[in-house]
Amino acid sequence: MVDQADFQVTVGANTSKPTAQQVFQEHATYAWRALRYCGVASSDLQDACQEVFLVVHRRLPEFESRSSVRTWVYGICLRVAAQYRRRAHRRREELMSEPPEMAVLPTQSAEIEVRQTRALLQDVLEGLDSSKRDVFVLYEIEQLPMEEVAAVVGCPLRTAYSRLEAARKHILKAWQRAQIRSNHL
Amino acid sequence: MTSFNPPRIASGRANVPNSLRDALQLATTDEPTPHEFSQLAAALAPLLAAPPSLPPYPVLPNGVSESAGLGSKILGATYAKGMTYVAVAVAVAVGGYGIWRSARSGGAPVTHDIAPAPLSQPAAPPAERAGIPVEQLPLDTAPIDESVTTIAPVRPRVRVVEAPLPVPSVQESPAQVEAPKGQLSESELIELARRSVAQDPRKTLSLVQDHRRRFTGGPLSEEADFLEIESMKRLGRLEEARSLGERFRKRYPSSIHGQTVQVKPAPTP
Repeated sequence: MVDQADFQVTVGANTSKPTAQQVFQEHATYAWRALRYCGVASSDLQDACQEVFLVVHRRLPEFESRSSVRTWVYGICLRVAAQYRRRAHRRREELMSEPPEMAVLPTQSAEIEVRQTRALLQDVLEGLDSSKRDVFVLYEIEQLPMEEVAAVVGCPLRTAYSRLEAARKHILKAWQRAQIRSNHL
Repeated sequence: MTSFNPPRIASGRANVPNSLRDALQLATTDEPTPHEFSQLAAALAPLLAAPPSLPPYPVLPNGVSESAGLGSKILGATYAKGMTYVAVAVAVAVGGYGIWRSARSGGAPVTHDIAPAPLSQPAAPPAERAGIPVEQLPLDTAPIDESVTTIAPVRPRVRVVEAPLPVPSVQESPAQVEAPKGQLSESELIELARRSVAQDPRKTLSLVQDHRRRFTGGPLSEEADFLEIESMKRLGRLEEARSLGERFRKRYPSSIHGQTVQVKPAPTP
């Protein structure tokens, strides 16, 4: 179970408190995406996303609007993903939502290319440690401003910059290696 | 420190391979498919509609763990309802016990005298402290301790009559009645229907009909109606799905399935 004490993100300022349904409608899509690139397997995204909104539902009465709802939900996503990774590491098994496809129609090639690119990016992100990965995902994929990224991950702004820089270097090298490998196959 | 946002890789202004830039651009637009979104919305609907005052969801008797996801989480939302039953049962039991005891004691209500505990020990008057009993002092010279600023209030003895507790009037809807042994509860039925909607929409339809028969007006009716529309769509019964969808949006205007149940009109030839 997710440790409730983990969910303390307090930054900035915001206005009124939405309902759990409103939070879901407005933030489910990016919560899903953030979870995916923070290391949650496709087959587990449903469950992880549910876990995020369970926490949202449970903690919403205590949400004091000192941060934006978006920042708050991202904070929850990062912690759920971190916990998922710890569990997945222990489990050491690959879960599949569906059996692998046996035949590929020509019309599916674009979809497959998208999947492969996504899988490659996820592999490369996998090599980052979680603190750098969170910063990279929030800044480069979720496109949050750096100030908000620092608030979500709970580090000073300067640290967030250095983490981003280190993550970029790592990703660039890993991407080039992955490209070379795939060209040799 | 002022915030500065370095150029993002996906913007194309950073010096990286195009393939990495494309991959990140693709990632920024990544989102659940409508099917995945509706599944997620369906799974969370009962929970999000419930007040957020529930305790952490309990361990379920069928051994479903929290990490099992879906089922346990939906069923967790029914926990509060279960606790209401327990509270009512306790109230009835306590009330019944009171009646039984009053009958045993010849009809007179059983009473207990509860003597209030002293709030605080009053400070002894100065004279008493000096060894002279207060009673022996003349009235006009009875000492007044100016230092005492608070006076312990005198609480009357309380007589408590043990009477049957009032039983809260719970208007039971069919959904709140426990399912007989061997039959699925409302949440189990809906969970089963939800799980089968992708692979076997006919089964979902039959489960939804079963739900309607057994749990009319139950707390998960919205979910059942939504699953019915989803099944219709998957079975190609688009006209029925469309009319049901319109009815659904009128009936549940704030539902999180509001967008999902919309069926596009068939293209005119």
